[in-house]
Amino acid sequence: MRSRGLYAILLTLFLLAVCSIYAQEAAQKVIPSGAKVFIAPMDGGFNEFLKAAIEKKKVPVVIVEDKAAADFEITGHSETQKASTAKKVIMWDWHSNEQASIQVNNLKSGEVVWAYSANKQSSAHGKKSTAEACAKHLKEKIESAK
Amino acid sequence: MSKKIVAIVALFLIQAGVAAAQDSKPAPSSELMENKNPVITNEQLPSGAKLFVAPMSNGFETYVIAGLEKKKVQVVVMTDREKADYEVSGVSDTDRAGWAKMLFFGSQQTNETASVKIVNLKTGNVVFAYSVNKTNSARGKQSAGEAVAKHINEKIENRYH
Repeated sequence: MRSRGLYAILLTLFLLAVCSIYAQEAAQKVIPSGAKVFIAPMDGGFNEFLKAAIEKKKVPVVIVEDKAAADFEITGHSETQKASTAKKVIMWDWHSNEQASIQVNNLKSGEVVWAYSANKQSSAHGKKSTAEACAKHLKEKIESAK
Repeated sequence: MSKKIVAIVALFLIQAGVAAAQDSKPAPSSELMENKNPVITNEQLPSGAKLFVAPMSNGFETYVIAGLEKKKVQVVVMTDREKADYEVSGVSDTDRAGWAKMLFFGSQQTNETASVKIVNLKTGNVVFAYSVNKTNSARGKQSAGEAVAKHINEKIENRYH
């Protein structure tokens, strides 16, 4: 009888330990609302478009200019393919093709907690469109953790 | 007698010189041999493995990481190589649509090509390698990055052949 009780206590402790490990791992992947984010410089000044998009889409993060004061860092790559003369003449299309990819790094754990890439053919508003797509999905990620 | 001593000293000096020259040559360590001749193994890529994605041409590494996120691949991407168990490295190239392609095919989509490999940082063995070629890629580098991620997922789930 006593051994059964001891066994139950040990099993409970083991399950609690496993649950806490999983909870810690899940917590590391979360971007909390109000997190301090540093946006690293990117090609073609995409970081500036991203800041504007985060503002426009009301993403619940605080953008800081000092990396040391941040909890997360956003890095990424952006590429613009301007409409060539052939595209303008043959396809009557003046819009550029845009692609961008960003990743959010947890500066404490060194893990990438979220990443997203966007591709816009004949982008209506150039880099602004891809930046807003990134910001929209970042907002979804933050709100899904609530 | 003195000639014999001079000869012995000269022989000793020559031998010492030869020994020093042999010592100065870098000995081929096992680690260097592994790096020069990487071994492609059937080693399993475990679920939850810590990956470091090395910088690639045209920022392709960020598209691979985004692909890993989208395809929900069971790995942890690290920003610090020292903390990782595996390293993903590779090359990527984009071929933009020319005027002839636009005129004759009405297509302005790019051709994408990429090739990646995953190396076990402890053993130096290549555990996975994959190359992708997308003609008229619907979403440029994003498509290639997601194809790479999909096949890494298959490798982890042991479905890759």
